[in-house]
Amino acid sequence: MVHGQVNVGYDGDIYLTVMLNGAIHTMMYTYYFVSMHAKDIWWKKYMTMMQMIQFLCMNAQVPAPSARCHIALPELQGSPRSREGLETSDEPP
Amino acid sequence: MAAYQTWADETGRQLLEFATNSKLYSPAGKAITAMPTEGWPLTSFASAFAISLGYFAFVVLGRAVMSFLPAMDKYTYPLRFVYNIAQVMLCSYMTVEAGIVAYRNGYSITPCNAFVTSGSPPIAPVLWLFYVSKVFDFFDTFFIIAGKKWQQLSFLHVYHHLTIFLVYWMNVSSRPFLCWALSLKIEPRRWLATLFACKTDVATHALCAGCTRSVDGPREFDGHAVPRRT
Repeated sequence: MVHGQVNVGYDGDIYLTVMLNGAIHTMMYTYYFVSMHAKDIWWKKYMTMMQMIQFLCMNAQVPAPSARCHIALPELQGSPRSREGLETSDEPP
Repeated sequence: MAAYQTWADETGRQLLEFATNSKLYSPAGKAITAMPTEGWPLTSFASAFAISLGYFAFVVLGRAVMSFLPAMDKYTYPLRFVYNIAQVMLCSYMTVEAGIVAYRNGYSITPCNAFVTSGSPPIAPVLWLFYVSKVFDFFDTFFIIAGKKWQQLSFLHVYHHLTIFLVYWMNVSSRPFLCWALSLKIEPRRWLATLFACKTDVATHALCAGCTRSVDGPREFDGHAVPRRT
């Protein structure tokens, strides 16, 4: 059952990107709004820094060690191609 | 129109199979197992490709047309006023919602959080909203063009908006990318695609921080030109 869903199920991991990117965009659009009405915005430089931190955090998640991944790996690799075989008729009787 | 639909459907299927490295469709083009977001608004490749093309055409035409017209900052002010507030509300909502989904499902900060084994993936609705919000972000470009802020209309700006949108089309239509880098060390093409996705972010958020609208801000204040930041 799990095998069949691996291909189309979502990795929940993307939640972190949505959160971080959403937070940064909230800041950015607050900045745009403020900059429509103010000249010097003291926290401008911190925003660039925060964008960099967001970017680093997002990418740090990818190689982050996780025991779950090592368990899931053979399934990920095995299931799609073995299911491809089911589509053809050369299945052993 | 029908020919476009057929072409787009087939191309979309191929892209998703490539991205997930899986056989997702039968030769007849039917999904082998249910695709969680199939049929959701704007998730077909026909929509995504048409929107991308429309955006690109707008950039090219807008750039050409605005070289003959005066800057329209004065007229877009009310629109920008509302747009920026709407974006703040939308983005903060997505931040909170994604956090709540993660909390409710016991997601960890490290990769390979549960694949969904039954029903609808819990992250799908907020991910779909995130995808659609990338179309809303195109208004950034509209305001740059309408305001004739050509320094901000960089290649990277357009590239970022287009690729982020298309990458999230893939994410919302299949599985999000994240486990790729871990899942197949054997497949170089996956690495390439992952690098491509990362590069999109590096290019805009890190290397070219100075080119984007976010850092530059409006060039005019109260009708007076603001000295450029170097």
